[in-house]
Amino acid sequence: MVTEMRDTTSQASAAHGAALDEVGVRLAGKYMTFKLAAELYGIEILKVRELIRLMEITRVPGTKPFIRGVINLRGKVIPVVDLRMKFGMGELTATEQTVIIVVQYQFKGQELTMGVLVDEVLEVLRLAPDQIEPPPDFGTGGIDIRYIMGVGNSDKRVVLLMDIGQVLSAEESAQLQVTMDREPGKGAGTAASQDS
Amino acid sequence: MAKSLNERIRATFLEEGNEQLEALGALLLELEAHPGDAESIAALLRIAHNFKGAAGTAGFPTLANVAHATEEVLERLRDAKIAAVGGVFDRLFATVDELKAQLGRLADGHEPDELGALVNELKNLGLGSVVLTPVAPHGGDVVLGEYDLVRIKVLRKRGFRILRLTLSPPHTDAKVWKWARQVAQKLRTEGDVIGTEPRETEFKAGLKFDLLVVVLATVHADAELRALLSPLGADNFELVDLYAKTAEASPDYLKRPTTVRQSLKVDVERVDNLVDMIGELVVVQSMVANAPEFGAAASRRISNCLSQLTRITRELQDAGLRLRMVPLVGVFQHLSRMVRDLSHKTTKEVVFTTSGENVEMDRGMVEHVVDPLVHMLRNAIDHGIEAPEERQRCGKPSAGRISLSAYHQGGSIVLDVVDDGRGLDRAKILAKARERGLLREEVTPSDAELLNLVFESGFSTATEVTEISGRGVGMDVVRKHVEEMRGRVAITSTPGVGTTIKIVLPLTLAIIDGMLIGCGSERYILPTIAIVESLRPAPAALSSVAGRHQMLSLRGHLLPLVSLAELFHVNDGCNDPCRGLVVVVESVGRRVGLVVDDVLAQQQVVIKNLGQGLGRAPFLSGAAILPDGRVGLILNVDEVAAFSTSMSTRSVGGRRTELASPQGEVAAGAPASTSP
Repeated sequence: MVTEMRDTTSQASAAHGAALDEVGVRLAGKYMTFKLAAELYGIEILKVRELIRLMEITRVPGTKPFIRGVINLRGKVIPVVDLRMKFGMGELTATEQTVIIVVQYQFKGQELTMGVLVDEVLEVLRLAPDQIEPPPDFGTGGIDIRYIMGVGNSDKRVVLLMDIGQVLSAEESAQLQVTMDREPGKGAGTAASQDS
Repeated sequence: MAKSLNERIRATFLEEGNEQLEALGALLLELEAHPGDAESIAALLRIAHNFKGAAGTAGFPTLANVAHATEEVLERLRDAKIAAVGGVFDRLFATVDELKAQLGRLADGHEPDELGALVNELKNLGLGSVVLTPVAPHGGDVVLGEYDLVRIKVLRKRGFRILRLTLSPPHTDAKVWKWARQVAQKLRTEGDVIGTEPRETEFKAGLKFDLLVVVLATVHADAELRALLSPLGADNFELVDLYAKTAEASPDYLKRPTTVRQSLKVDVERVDNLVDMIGELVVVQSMVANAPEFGAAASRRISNCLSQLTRITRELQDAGLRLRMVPLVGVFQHLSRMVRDLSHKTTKEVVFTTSGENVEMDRGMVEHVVDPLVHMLRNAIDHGIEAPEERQRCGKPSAGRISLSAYHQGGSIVLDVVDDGRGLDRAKILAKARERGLLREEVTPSDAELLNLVFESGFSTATEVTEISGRGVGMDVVRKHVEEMRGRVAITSTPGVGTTIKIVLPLTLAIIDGMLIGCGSERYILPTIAIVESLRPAPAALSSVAGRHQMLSLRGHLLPLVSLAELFHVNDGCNDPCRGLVVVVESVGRRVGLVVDDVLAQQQVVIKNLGQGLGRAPFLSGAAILPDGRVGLILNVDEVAAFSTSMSTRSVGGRRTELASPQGEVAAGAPASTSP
């Protein structure tokens, strides 16, 4: 199976060669795809624990603005992150399609569970190595490259493969303590005009 | 997974060995307090014997040898061959400590040390001292060891009856011991003598007794036994079948091993998991019970089912919490031992009494409660209790009394440490506090305030530093630990009469009594223990400092006010104390008035961690699920109080913008304060 895929990859682009091959093989697998504004993202299916419909979120004062608050997931308190806010796409407004994806991942030996607020969940997509490319250089604008592991192509759609562990790394929370984020609305506000 | 049998035996030995040594220590204390207590000695022997066996099986002959020598000392004590004096106990305690240390070595992967010297010492222990004649009055019951009990078990399986014969000797002259010996010999021909009282080893000239008690295993009927013994003039005996169904007289020593409470060792994580799941169940249950749909249905059946569900869930929650509760007895034993050692070291005489060993506490709390108690007891011995001569001069008994008691009061657990020593020296405390700058010269604190100064860090009135205490660390540790457990500590003292320190702790760390307070559309939980009072002040009682910080004049004291709406940027929250409410909270001696919209309800809540990945959430200590299923945040009163007091002392310069600014809409009318 893998060798077969490798063949197609090398056929497709001999120039990119080993590097591309490597990213594809590493990232190939199933992804849960979802929409943020008009963009399509994917999270590794192994990190998705469940999907829940939007519920009452309790705001936690003093935390970063992209942290919407905490919810009660069957007795466990988990934080919920607004990805649109995080990526400067403006605050998400709830609709019928709004969903919280509950993700679980290992971080520094600890199991972290958190909810990710997205506009709409689409489908589970299987990506073969030849459908995945390394992330392009977005330049200074747009989403921080650190959060994107690769770009998947499927049915002429482009899926940005998100490294959800990176999105809420401890580095972020460390920063959080130092700068209590003086102006939450600013960064998000400018971007909001584009899509909301 | 691939643990060899040997490894597993060793692991079991390490685990159980420690427990056995704990038990040995506790029993030694007991025996020292009541010398000649046959039951304690029997139990000590049994445990030492088990330890010996386990050590041998696990392949640690050196430890087995020590245990064997200990057993011999105990036997000599039992048979009153050596006197039960302090020196012997010191040695035995030291031996237990040594064995514990060796187990520690084993746990770290080392081999045990060579302990030949210790074994020799034990072998000769007490032998040089006076050999006492038996002092324990005879006529008591038979003392059976572990071995005897096993024998009884085996014999019963073979169909023997286990009888207790109580025989009165026909005469009580000097030859009565010969009669006893004859009886025993006779009985042995027709059965198995398990034990006698007096013991058979004592059947020799000079023995005097009124009754001979024999525990006998036999297949013969009662009449046959009487016939057997009548030639000796011993046919007039009382006979009890110890295992007969009707015998209510079955003595304790036979019951004990069979009715040992069955217990199960369970991984703590599993218990915690279970308790967590029960917590979830409780939440879901209350969501169901409060669902308006059910209320609308107004069906008798549904409401019956719901109330049953509520009851069962509550019981389940109680049972779940009880799983984590352990009695304080282990801690108390540890402390008794410590008091004993300390009093020997200081040459002060101390009678230490404990009560409430069976009061149960959350496992996590028991660990935290040890340190404060250690400090309190050390202080009581070192500073509280006077030297014997001094006590006599004051007309007190030369031995000081310290008591430690645990009991339930309301929804709390109370631990009292009471000593009858000299009490706290108020003048000294005052002088020390002024010297250390804790109090200004002109301030005269109230008595309670004055006594509470001893909880300040680095505070010690002891004139000299001793090995035990006086370095000024201690009482602040007590307060720190207690407050970490959301408890309180109070001290009262009467000069010359003694000191009482009272620790009040919540029943469990997992649940708190909270007050649900409203702030705009949001709700927060305030730990009830921190609340002093709540009031709606008159506008005249308010004053402001540096134009912004509000203060409330309350019974002559100025109280800094903190608006929750401002602190947490709640848009629709109330900032005006005269429209909302002021909840006065206290933490670490600091009082702050919290301005809120309303106090909604009192609520017991299960404390949850705020989810990880949130980063730091200022002024919050956790979260809880409210009855409607939503998450409520628990206020960290310490942080709020610390913040407000630092704010009011720094005042002016607008340092508070750091926390109270942004989100534009809240910092209303404060454009000047946006850039610090």
